Amino acid sequence: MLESRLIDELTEQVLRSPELERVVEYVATSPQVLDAVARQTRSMADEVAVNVRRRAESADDAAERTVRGWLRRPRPQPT
Amino acid sequence: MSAGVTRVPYAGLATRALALAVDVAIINVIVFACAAVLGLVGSLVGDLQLDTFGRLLAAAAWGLAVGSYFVLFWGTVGQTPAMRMMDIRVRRAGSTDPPSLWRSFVRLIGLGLAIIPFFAGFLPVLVDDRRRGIHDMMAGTVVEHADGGGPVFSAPVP
Repeated sequence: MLESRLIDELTEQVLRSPELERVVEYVATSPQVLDAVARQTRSMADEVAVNVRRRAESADDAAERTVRGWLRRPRPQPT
Repeated sequence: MSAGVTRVPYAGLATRALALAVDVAIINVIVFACAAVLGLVGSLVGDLQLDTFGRLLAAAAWGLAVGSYFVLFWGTVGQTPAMRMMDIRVRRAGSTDPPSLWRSFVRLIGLGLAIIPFFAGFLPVLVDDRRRGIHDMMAGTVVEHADGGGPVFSAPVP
């Protein structure tokens, strides 16, 4: 019980300490951290774009195949 | 590559439709944001009410902004932002260059004509060997995958 209160007090003190604020500020403004977040966001956006592209290309394929099938007009062989 | 399929370097209907929809959304957000700012400034000065002439002027400004967006992007880099996202670009048929500004303007007119009959002007994309819509036929342009390979696309061959 006593130990638990001690831990709580210590945690409170650490959270209120200006040192912790400095550490958080340092991490939040660190170029490495910002760079990593930006890279992560970019790679996620890239992944979404690639996925959308792939699905759209499949839809291109399906639509053209269907219509050419109806018209019995297959795509000519490339020369 | 398996037998019976061929790589197609030209962009198909779904890819192009998606790019067009995203472009229209982008330019409309920009135009309406500008209009909202103008309206806000106008409301600070006085009571802003558009009469018929004002509405016609606003519609003309919208048309000019949308037209300029497409013509300038096609005519300079051959890609709008959404086409870049979809990794496709427009070029003159038989050349690697983007269309000239004049050709881009003709393509814009063609795009309007393709849209008016409920987008029927895009249907030739499904059967044309170079996947051209009527606006491409009018302007002498093709839309292809920017990496030139038609990466994962396959279309049936006889």
